Amino acid sequence: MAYRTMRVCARTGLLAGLASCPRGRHSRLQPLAVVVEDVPIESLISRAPALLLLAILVLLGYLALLQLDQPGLLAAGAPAAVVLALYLRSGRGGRS
Amino acid sequence: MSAPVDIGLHHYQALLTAATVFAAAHAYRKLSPFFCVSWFGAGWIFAYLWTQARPAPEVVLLPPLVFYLAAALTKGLVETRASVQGNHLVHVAMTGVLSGVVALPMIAMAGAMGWSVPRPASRVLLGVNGSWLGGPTLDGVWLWIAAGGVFYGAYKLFDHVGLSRGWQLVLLLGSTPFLVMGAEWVYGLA
Repeated sequence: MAYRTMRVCARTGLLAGLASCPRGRHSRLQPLAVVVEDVPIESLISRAPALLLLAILVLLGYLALLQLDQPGLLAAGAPAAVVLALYLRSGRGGRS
Repeated sequence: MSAPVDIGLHHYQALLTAATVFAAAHAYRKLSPFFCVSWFGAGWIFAYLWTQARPAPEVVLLPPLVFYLAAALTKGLVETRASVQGNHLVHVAMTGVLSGVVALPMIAMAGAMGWSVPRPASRVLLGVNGSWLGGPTLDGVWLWIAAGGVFYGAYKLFDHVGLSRGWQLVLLLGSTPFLVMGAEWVYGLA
């Protein structure tokens, strides 16, 4: 078992996030320790955004360097690589 | 150096399908089943109406996936900063920008491989030509910024005005033609 701290709205009890409670503000959110099943698939799903962006960059690199021999294509992945680095350093360890 | 596997259109379509399933699993587990269905359902309709290419699987799958990744990355980046945490305008603007950033490698790949992209974009903006961005123009990035910002802005609006989930879904699906018009209007501002 692993514990994870999530934030819930103090008024509605709903989780804060993309589909958060209607009037969720950080000042009205409170931490809640929840048990997360310590199974590999859960861990994998938690990292989906980072893994998917990484997969896009790997595919771009493969096509640019190995298949098309157009290294200039890598420039298109530079902004996304910076965003991925910032996301991984944002304190969540690539989880969301 | 030669590629051990030649990646073609069908591989690309299969990868996009797998990526969409993975992203939908993330939405289902980390947010809610309602979010998963409403986001990808409305996203596919939006993509179908937004595309100017033949509505092939890849052009319909790509927009909601790109917008979802942008929104999830935004959440991770913004929610750790107390100064902008909970600020919906920052969320929407950042998701728009990241839609362009995430779409850039995808449209570069598609362009180089001759695969379909939802919309062509070839205007020269701010004097930036394609060689700076690996092939696509800045106009192409702006196109995705406009679409991602409008789609996420509308989703966020319907989610936060206090409607029931049923009405949210009806409004979201019913407004997709207008969202396409909105995305075109924002795109035309540059």
